[in-house]
Amino acid sequence: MIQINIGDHTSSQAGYIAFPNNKLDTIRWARQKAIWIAANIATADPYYRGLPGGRSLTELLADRSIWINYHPTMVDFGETNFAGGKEIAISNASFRIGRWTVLATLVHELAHVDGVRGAVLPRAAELAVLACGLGKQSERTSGVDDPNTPYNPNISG
Amino acid sequence: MATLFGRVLVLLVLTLVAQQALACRCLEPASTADAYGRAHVVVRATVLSVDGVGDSPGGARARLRVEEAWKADVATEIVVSTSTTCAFDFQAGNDYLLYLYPGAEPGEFSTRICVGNCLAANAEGALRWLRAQGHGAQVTMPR
Repeated sequence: MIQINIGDHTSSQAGYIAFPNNKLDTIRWARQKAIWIAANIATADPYYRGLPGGRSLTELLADRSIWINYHPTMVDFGETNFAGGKEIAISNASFRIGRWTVLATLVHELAHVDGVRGAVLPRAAELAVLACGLGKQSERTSGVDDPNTPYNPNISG
Repeated sequence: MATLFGRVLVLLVLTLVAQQALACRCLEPASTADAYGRAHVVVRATVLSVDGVGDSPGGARARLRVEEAWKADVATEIVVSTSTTCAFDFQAGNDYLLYLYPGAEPGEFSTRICVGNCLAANAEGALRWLRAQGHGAQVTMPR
């Protein structure tokens, strides 16, 4: 299973650190929910398989070499060390909004782990959030965010 | 079959969504004043050269010739680094409005997406705001 940095991992990327204890329940919930999505949302695995890395969401979530780290100061919701990299950072900004935003950031970043480059595939990573059933098609077509869903068509990526 | 379906699905979705090339999960600043307030220095600059690819291992370093600056004095030629999936996609020869932050090396800067960066040609409103409201700074020749 994809791993959560609880202090047993030193990331190659500056600023990517272990989750503090008060964030662990939320990030564990997000990982478990992502596993549920991969098993139950029919559009999730096919969407990820179509990304440059060609791996399904199920395969990505089963990969023990992928690490989810915490970033306490980043203004953005999350990032990955590079397209195709295996070091994800989820920021305190995501946690401040809530666990569904943490989940959306995790599935978004897993699209980057699957090779999505923002400069080449505009919006492909955020569309993974939609493919995971975390948004409405009407948000994508209108470009107007529904604050009741984690997907946000105005989010970069 | 499933892989083929997936690729077709992605291509279909991406064809329907033709927007600006962007990367990590973030929101653009609400206004020029917001972007200006956060940045260490703001410049209008032309990219002379780019080493590396921003969202690849090691990131990218761009060498730029500064035309205008705000908030802090800068040299006529500066180096700006960018990395991770939040990297800004520098293209040699392009003229950009850039919001810069301190870099890893002394005298260098860093930047990323979601800080207000854009092509200078698309920044008419922001440049007008900066020239009226921003604290103009010197572009100095290197010693």
